[in-house]
Amino acid sequence: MSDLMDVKKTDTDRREFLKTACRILALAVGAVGFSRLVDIEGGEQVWQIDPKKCIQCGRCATECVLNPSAVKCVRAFDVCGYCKLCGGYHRINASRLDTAAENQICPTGAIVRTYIEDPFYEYKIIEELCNGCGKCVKGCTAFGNGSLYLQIRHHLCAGCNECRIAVRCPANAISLVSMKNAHFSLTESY
Amino acid sequence: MRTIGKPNIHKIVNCVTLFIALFMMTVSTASASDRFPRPEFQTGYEIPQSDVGTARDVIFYYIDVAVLFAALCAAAYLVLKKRSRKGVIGLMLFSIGYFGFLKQGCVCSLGAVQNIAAGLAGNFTISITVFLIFALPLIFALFFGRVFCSGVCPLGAVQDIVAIKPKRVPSRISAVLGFIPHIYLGAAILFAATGGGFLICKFDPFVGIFRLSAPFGVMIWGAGLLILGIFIARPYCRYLCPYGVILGWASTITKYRIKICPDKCVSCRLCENTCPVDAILPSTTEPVKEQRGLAVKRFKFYCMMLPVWVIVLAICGWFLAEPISSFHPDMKLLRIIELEVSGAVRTKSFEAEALRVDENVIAVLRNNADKTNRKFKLGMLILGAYLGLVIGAYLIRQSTYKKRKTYDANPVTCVNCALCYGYCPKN
Repeated sequence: MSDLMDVKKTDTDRREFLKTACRILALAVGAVGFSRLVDIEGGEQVWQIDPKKCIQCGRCATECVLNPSAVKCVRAFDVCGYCKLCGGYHRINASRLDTAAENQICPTGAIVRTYIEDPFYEYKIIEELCNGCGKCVKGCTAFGNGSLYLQIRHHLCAGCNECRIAVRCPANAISLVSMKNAHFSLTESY
Repeated sequence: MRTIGKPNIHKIVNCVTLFIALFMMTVSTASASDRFPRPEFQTGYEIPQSDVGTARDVIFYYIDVAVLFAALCAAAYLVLKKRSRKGVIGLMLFSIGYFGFLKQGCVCSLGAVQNIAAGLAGNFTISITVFLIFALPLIFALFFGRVFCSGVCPLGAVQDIVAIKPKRVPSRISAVLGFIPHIYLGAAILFAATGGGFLICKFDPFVGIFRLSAPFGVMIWGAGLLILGIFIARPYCRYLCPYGVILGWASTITKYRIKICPDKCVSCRLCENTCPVDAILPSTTEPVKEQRGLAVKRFKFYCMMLPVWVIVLAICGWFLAEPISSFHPDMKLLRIIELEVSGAVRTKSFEAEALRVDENVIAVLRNNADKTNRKFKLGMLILGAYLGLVIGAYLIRQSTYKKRKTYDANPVTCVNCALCYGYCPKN
C-alpha cells in the first residue's frame, strides 16, 4: 500500500514539475514578445486624420460611434484669408453674403461670423454644434485658403481599438499615430 | 451666382477672387493656402491662436491598466480565497461600470489579441499599455485560472447577470460549438495580420450596450445573444470568445484552481447541475469493462487520424482562402473601382474620388489584391492545419480514460463564476 502511495506522489510531483516548467516557458515567451513587440519610445497611439488626404466625404459625421461625432472642424487662423465671400461659410448659390441661415453652408449653424473691418470677417467654430460633416472644409479648400480642416478631437474621442470612421474612410486618411508624433494643427508639417 | 440688391465693390472683388480661385484650382489643388494673402488689419485686430487641441494625458492609460490589474487581483482573491459568489457579482457590476460604460468597452483584452497579431505581422506599433491589457489576464490565468472571465471581463459579466434560467446544452452539441472560438480566433488573427480590420471589435455584441449606440445589425446580434443568454449561460464566452481559447491554453497549466469541495467530496452532483457552463468533470465510476486491446486500438486509430485531420483541413483552408479573402478591404476596393471603370456602375464613389483613378492606380490595386490573396492562402493553410490539430487532439483526449475521485472544475472551460461553491453541501 505504501508503495502505491509513493508512486502516486511521484506521479503528481512530475505533473506539477511539468506544469511549472510550462509556466516558466510561457512567461519567458511573454517577456521575449514584450521586448520584441512593444515600442516604448512611441508611447500611446491616437487616431488622426491626415487633412491632405481627406476628401470631406461626410462619413465622419455619420460613422463615428459617438453622436455627435468626435470629428470636428478646426480652424487654422494663421492660414485664413478673412474673406468676405467665404467658401466655408456661404453656400455656393447664396443669394446674399450675409449671416442669414439660408445662405450658410453649415447645416448646424456652428460657424459664427464677426465683422472686423472692411472687407474682412472673422469666422469661428462653436465646437459643440459642429457635427464634423466637412461641408465648410470642402468649400474653404475649393475656393479659399484651406484654413479649415477636419480633425479627431481627443478630449471627445472614445479611442476605440478599431475606429469605425477609419474603416469607412474612402481616402485612407485616418490612421493610428503615436502620441509623440501626432500633429494637432494644420500648419505643423504632416 | 445670383445677385439681389445693390452690387457693392467688395462683392465684385470677392467674385473676381472666386474666379481666380477656381482658375487656380484647375492649375494646382495642392497649395491652397497661398490663394489669399493674410490680411493686414488697420484696426489692431490680432489673429487668434489656432486651436490645436489636446490629447488625453498618458497617465490615464496607465490608470486603466492599474484598474485592470487590481480587478484581476480582486477576482483571484474573491474566487479562490474568499470563495464568495456575492463578491464576484459585486466585481462584475464594477467591471460593467468601469470597463463597460465608463471606458465604453475599450480597455478590452479580447480586442488586444488583434493588436498583437497586427504587431507581429509588422503593420502596427504596440504600446506598453496595449501589451499589458493583452498579457495581464493571461499571466493571471497561468497562476489562478480564468479569473478574468469571472468578474473582470464586462462582456462575461453582462451575460452572467442575465443567465436566469440556464439549461444544460447536450454535450455533443456543446463539443461541436466549442470549435467555433478556434475558427473565430484564427480568422481574427488572419484579418488583423493582413491589415483587413478587427473582426472581434466589429462583431463585439455587447459594446453597443456600453456605448448606447451600434449599427443595427450588431444591435440585433447583441440583443439575440442576451436573450439566448437567459437560457444558455454565457453563450459568447463558451461558443465564440476568441480570447477564451488563449485563456484556456494558459489555464491548463494553472497553479491554483477552484476546489469546489473544501472537504471530502460526496459525489452528490449538485455542483455539476449548478455549473452554468458545464465545466464540471464528474468523479469517475469504474470504467465499463472492455477488452484492453480494443481501447488501445481505438487510441492508436485516433493518433493516426491526427495528421489526416491536419492535412485535410489545411487543404480545405487553401481552397477557402479565395472566397474568404473577398471580405478583405483591398478586394472590396478593387471590386468597386473595377465596376466603375468598366462602366457597369455610373455613380462615382468617394473611394474613386479619393484615389483619382487611372491605369497606374488600378495596377497598384491589383497588385495589392494579389499580395493579400497570397497572404490569405498561407494564412488559411495554417488555420486549417491548426483546426485539424485541435479536432484531432480533442478526439484523442476523448478516447483516453482518466481517473477522478472528486467532482472538479475543468480549468480550461471553467469561468470562475463561483456559483458552485454555494451548492456544495460541505461548504
